[in-house]
Amino acid sequence: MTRIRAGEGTLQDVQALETILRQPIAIPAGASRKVPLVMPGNVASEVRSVCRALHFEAHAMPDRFPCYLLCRTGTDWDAPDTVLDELYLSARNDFFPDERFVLLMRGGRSRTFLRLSPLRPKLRRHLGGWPIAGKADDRECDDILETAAKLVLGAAWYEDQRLPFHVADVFSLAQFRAALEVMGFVLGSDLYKVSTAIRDDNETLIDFFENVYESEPLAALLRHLASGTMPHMANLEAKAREAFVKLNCGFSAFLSTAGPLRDMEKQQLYKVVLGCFFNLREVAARETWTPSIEQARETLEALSGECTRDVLAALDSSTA
Amino acid sequence: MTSYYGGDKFQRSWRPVSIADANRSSASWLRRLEAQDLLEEMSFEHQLAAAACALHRNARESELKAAPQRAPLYTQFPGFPAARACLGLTAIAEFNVHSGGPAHHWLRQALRPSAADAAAVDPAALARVTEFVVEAVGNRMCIDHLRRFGGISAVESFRLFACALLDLRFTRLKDVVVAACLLGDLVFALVQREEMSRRIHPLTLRIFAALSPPCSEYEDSAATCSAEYLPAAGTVLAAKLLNALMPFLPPKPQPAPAPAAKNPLTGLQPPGRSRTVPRLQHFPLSAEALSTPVQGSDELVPPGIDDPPPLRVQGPRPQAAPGGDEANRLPGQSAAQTAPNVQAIIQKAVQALAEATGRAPWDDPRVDQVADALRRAIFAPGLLHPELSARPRRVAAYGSAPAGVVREETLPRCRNREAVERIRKAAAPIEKKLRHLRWFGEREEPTLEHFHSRGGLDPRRLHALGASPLIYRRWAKQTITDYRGRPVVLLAKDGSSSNTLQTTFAGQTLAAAFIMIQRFARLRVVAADYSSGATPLVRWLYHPGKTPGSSPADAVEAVAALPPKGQGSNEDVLSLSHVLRETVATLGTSQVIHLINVTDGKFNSPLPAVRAMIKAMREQHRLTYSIIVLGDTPVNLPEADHVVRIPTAELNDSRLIADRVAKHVNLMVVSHRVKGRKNHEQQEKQKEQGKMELRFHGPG
Repeated sequence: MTRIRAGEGTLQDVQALETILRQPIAIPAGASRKVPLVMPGNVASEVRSVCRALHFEAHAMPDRFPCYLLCRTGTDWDAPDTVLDELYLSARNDFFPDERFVLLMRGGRSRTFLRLSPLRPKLRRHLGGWPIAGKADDRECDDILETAAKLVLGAAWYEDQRLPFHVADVFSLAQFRAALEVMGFVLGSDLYKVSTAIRDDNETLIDFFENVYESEPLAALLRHLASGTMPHMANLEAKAREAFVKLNCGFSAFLSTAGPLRDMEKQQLYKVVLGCFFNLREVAARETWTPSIEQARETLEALSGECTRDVLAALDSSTA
Repeated sequence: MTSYYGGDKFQRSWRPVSIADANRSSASWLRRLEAQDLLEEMSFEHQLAAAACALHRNARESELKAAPQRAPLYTQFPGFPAARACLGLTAIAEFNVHSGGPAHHWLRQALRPSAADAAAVDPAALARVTEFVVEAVGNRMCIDHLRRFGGISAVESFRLFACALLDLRFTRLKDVVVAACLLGDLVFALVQREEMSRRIHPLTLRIFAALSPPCSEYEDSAATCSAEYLPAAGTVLAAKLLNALMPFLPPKPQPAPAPAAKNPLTGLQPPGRSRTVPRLQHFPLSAEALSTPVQGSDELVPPGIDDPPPLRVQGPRPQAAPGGDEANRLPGQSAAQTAPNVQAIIQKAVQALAEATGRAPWDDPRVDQVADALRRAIFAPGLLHPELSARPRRVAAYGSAPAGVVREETLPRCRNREAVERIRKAAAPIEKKLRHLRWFGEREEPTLEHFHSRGGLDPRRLHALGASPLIYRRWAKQTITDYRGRPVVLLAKDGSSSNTLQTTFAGQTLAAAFIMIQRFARLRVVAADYSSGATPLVRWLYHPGKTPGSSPADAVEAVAALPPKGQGSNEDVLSLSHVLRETVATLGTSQVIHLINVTDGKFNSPLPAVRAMIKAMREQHRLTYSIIVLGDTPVNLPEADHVVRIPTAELNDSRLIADRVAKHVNLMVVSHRVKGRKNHEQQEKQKEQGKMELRFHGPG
């Protein structure tokens, strides 16, 4: 397929491609029947018959060539839908316009999954070097990722954050992203339940957010919850809401920045962000930034840091 | 919010409902409905404003003509901007309906190229390009008008959404024109970037450079002009765009000259080749060599006037080497008979690619496919909406009836709380009677049976004969009661116009009752209403793979959304066949299916066809066919397993309906259980006796 796309293919390659797509393939590990790739629905159900956690997805790229994703999803009935591991991913694909969410077809409907698979290699490395855990195995990684999704990320990541997260990734707004997650977690979680859940086995989760996910504010919040001293919720929420409004205003001001990129001086940033949403990383590469966007970045980062500090301070001061 | 499936134990809802939730799969159904209401309300306001802009007066509700557009919500664009883009597209569609569409007659009239120009270029290409220009300029004026003079900022959201969807390879001239005319402020800067321009064909860059000045001039003039001067500015823009495009159009077809030879040093064609935009070449069916190079999708290609196919052969095709494949040729066969055919190979491969990226018929629209469809007709309204509201399906009927087309749709939840309560209240007695009944499934289990000899042959001494024990046993399938299995109850409700208010309400009540009991009675319910408009129409009330409500409780509310009286006629055989096939395809056939047909007894299909259908269904599936006749119409269907009649006098009393239906269902379930128990007992008895009542054809 790569040869054909690059223009190095011949009619023979086209014929071979068609043969491959139509050739029935047997799914290993006890599949009962052979299915060809031209029947993606059947391939998906066959893959699922091997293991309930496996998921197969096929998309068409704009040039009509297919791309595939074979992944392992979480099976904990209690946890959000998560992608835990990507077993196969076509080099050229359109599954992940943003890093945290992926839309997959499950049971004929599209469903939103939290994408935790990028964290897996780092978690594995970390666990391998962690003296308490010893050698990390897949099950252990799964457990930690699912617990993180269930207790924290399910609330800290929500779909309306896709735009700000994407912008934060492209413009390297680390503090802004962390602040959004903290606000999402505080406002969207039942902190009493989370506190109860992590009180017994708190080390792993806090360690995950400290060293793997590298979000110091979230780790600090969890450490506080795990200590058993419950904060005064109403105060904490009020502070988080206040900070959330501030962040929204700050982000809105950031998007209104005029002349953000070198060759787009007449535009405002929001036009560039929305108009080039799927190519933003390439369009707004660092070398194209103008002084005005640099300044807007710094302002937003400073505001985000301040908001996070306010919420964490409220946590300490409002302890019941 | 943030309640992903199964993940709401530690989370809570804190954000207000917004239009971004209208198609959010992770939002609860209630939240989605609220968001949809909100979006519909805003769509309505945008439509009124757009219509007022086009009509130059306040528009009335009855004057609105465009349907609300929802396609951007089905892409991977972020939720809120996508919802705003929906509003923008709706406003554009409404404005275009009232102002005569984007292909304005006067604009087309104004675009008359000079006689010399027209004589020099391919007339078909000129006509297509004129269409592109008229459409793009029409849409541009529409957007400017709505944004500047109507105050509808959502159209700008849609413009940005369209820009995000652009395929930056620009393989079609239409995309180039649209990008330059409508999205020029962003695109001109992008294509001039070095890294971006490397991925675009030089001809495309030259076309952009030619289109840039007229677009910039228009932007400057439109930014300051008043509403009445906007059409004039648009006409000037259209004329300038067409003039700018003329040098790139293919010349009038001449007798084909000899192909220019490649440069022997560089292996490249002479530069004259890419000075004009090519048209799609339709090669005649012919025999070719397998070494024919194929045009790659990642290669730089000039923008085509016609839609480029996903695969095509490159440039002039090489002749097959004489005698190249003689070894594979049978005696007496010519080269043309053995050599592969270019078009056939490519068509097969394109077909295979389409199948490999297709979706199941009952799937939600997939993000990549919606984006692709939008990319092809970016400012065209109506995409996705008809497909979502009623998808046509080709159905092979059971029995003697011919195949036909059935449209299917899923009913949304009813927003009229009174209607829902009325249905719930009426269904309560039936539910109460049926919920305590436990349904059991059936399954086929392979059983080992032993043959035993009779008469003079003593089975205990058989081993002395040296006969293999294999010939004394066999595997057989036996239907046994599956106490953990859940049978499928398929409730098909007749909704044709012969149904009165009474029978329709009674049918709705029954459907609601069955949907409500499914979690208590250990069964799986699929419910559909079938009627027709122009073609047979199947409306799914509850189907686990089709209806959006994730729980049956939501589906009860969909039942209330049915019209209060029957509509149109129907094709009973086609509709019932479709309903059964879709159920079997989704849920599998391992369990028995109880098809309950709720009807007024007036079949629109011929009775022999209905009988043949029932017979074929029972032959092909493990199925019981019950018919509940609402009213006094006589029904003569000996093929049906059970016929239950509810006389007209009892239709208003749900308690009497409950009695009759409960009696029938009891009979049906109990008879199955008795049958299963008998089978089981018989099997146990035979095991104990060690003797099977089987015909013996063993050795000797």
